[in-house]
Amino acid sequence: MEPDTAKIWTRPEVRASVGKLIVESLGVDEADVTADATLIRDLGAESIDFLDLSYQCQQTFAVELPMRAIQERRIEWRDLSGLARVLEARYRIAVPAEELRMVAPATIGAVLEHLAAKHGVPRTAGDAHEVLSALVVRMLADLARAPLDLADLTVDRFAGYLEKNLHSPDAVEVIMNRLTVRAVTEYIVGQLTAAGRLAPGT
Amino acid sequence: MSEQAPREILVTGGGRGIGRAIALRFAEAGARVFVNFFVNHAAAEKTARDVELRGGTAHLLQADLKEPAEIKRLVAEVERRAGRLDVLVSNAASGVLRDGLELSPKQWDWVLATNARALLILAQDAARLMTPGGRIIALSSLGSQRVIPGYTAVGVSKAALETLTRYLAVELAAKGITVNTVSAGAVETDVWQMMPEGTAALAAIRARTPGGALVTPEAVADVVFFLASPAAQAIQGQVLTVDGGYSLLA
Repeated sequence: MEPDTAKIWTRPEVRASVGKLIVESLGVDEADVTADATLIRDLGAESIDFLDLSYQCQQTFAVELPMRAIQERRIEWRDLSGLARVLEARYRIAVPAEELRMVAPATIGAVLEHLAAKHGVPRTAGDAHEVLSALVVRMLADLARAPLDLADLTVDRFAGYLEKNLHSPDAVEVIMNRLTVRAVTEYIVGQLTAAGRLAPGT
Repeated sequence: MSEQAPREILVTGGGRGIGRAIALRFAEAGARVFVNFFVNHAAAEKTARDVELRGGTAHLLQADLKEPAEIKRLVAEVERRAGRLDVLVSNAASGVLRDGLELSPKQWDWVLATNARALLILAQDAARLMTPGGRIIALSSLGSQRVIPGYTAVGVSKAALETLTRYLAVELAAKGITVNTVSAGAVETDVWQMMPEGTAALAAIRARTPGGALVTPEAVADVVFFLASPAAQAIQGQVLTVDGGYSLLA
């Protein structure tokens, strides 16, 4: 029950152990656990698998996978409380997320029209794009330290998923599909490095 | 044992929600509380700190309760540190929100093992450490008797747990140990935040509850604390509903 916090890991050891934990927690074939494999789409991971994987990572590396933080961010996008905070920062107006969820269609344009009609917030040229970009920047910043391979996901590309639907399941899916074996490995390597428990030069 | 003596308590899933409130309730009476948790280390550490602030002593014990070997290690650790156990609160639960027709064998096994079998293994090991006056208290929910959408696996696991309560009660009565279950109504914990429309569901439950208020984790903890007291020695093998009257209405 107590993880070994004194062990100094090498990068190949971390890679091998992560692969083993994923095979055991998800019940998949070793051959399928490639660096690029996504845990959800390719390896079929679901919520209980992430609990198992989180526990095994704590036991093996004394490192916590912030799966709960990712889940909380997903909820914030879905219930528009993240958008409510972006609007508050930009317009200095506190509109409850519940109110934003009532707006139809669920687009940024409709939300801004609602703010103009009900709260007198003036529309300006390009405001929809700016608000959407601010929302995406916030989302990506929230996830910057999670085990996600976000390197090639630009603000514009992500904003594209939300343009037609603020609740777009595609936006959540594109993020969750960045949860790769490589991303998990690199996350653990990063945490071990920060704790001085990764052998230098490995 | 006198009511005032510090007691040795094990609370599974004691880091958050109802388990945390139970840990703190016993801490107020000066108990040593073994706080078991699964993955949320930060929450468990906060509970342990708060147990100490309330006058108790806390030990954190991480374990995966769906694994019998881990339960055995957990109870062995309690035995090593305390030498005995006065109260076992089997509170930890895990769930998969899915209709029965969509449940996979893996999901079923996970939920049943974590929620129901854990009580069996815990009780088998914990009873060895208990003297007359020992208490085993499990936590259930209304889904064991009523149908809640998506709650199939958890509901079945809670029904098993409630039945197990009665069997264990009869088996352990001769040792002076009582076994009971507290069935809590909807309690406002962070679990609801994780559910789609969880906030709206809570509001609807509040509106339907006769007193117009949701049951709090502290209210559930008070009932657990009472069942653990000498005054409750004659309460054996019961499922006590703590839901503010919610389930009374047709």
